[in-house]
Amino acid sequence: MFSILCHLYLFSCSAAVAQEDVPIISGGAGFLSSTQGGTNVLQPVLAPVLSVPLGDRWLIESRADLREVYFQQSPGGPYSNDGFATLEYLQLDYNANSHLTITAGRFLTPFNIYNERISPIWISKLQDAPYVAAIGTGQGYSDGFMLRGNVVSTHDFDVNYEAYFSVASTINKLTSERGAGGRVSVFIPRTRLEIGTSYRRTLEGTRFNSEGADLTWEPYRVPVQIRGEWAHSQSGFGYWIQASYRMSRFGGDSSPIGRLEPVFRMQQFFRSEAIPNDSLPTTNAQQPTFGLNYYLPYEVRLNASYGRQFLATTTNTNVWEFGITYRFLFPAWPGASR
Amino acid sequence: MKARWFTIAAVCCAFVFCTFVAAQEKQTKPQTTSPTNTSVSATDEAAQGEKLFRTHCGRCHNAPENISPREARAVVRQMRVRATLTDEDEKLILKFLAP
Repeated sequence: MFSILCHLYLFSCSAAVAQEDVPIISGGAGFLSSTQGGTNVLQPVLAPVLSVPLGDRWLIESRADLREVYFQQSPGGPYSNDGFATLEYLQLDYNANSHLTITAGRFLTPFNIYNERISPIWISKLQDAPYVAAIGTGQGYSDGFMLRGNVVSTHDFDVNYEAYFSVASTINKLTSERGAGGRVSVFIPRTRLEIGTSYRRTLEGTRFNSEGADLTWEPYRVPVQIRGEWAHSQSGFGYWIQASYRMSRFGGDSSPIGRLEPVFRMQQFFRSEAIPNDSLPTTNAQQPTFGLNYYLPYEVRLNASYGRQFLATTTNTNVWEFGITYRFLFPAWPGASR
Repeated sequence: MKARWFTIAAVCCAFVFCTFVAAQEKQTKPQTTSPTNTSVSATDEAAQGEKLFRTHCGRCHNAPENISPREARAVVRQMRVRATLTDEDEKLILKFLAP
């Protein structure tokens, strides 16, 4: 993967020298810690995003996730560690117009909203992914092609679509499942309300359908975000709903209080069939989580959260999480920002 | 049984919260003025760009700080794919990010 990224970087440099556009490296870095049932997990994470515009219509973009995980097998026990390097996407986009963008390569599976929009560490309000984020995404990544754009766009509403086909791949770091699916959403700009529905047909091994629905509401005049998803597959079904409130009413975004953001998320999952390695809880589960984020200057954010996980067949546990994330953005070579 | 109570509690919380937010919106609405600009100056374009940014991009993340026009072009190109922006939207958001 390192080799792929190096080649991509060199290509981006040579491609962009002759033009006005400059490739950028953005993304996030962070240190995350969680304690569940007395067992600690510590993770330094680096998630760089490379973006290479090629003319007015073409774009190469890529994101990797590099992390070292230090974990305890039991409460108070010694730490073991393991490193993970994941190429999350490496895609070539051709933007014909707002109605059609053609994407080829490896991309984030567009099922509901979490995987594609909220999963980056510098965006997600809570560290943990919701239970149902594993439904319908085929391990999160797809290798193939995708079409996306808006069907109709007016002052009152937008109708957007995404449709994709993914091939089966067992190439190291580029694994994906064979499948096809898409998402259709309606967005009302006046209220910033979006409702979407997703579908995926897994075409590998036991073929099955996954269905989902998502909702996002971010009113203009109140600094609140409400997001939620429902998803169903043969493994079971579940939902999550999350509300966050940036306290910028108290002296503005930059005031000591205005930098605070309380978050609450409720999620449940109901298991209907035991399927190994589906990345979902093995039994019915529910978890309320309370979080508090603090936005420091220079794109640094502190996160803290407490959740209580209720499982149907095993002991309930507390989940404590703390972290610091930093969002960065700079040109791919020195001096290119001028 | 426990799961059912959690569902009911979650739905009730969501309802109360949404009602609260909707009420807040209603209260603050009269304080704002509707845009009636006809001539589009650079400042107006930047303001329109900001509004578009908040509508499309700001739903997930804040605007990046202190970026040059060339960097902004790359950022907006990425958002154009994600948020299905038009050419016009792209230009206005650029005016906002790097005036």
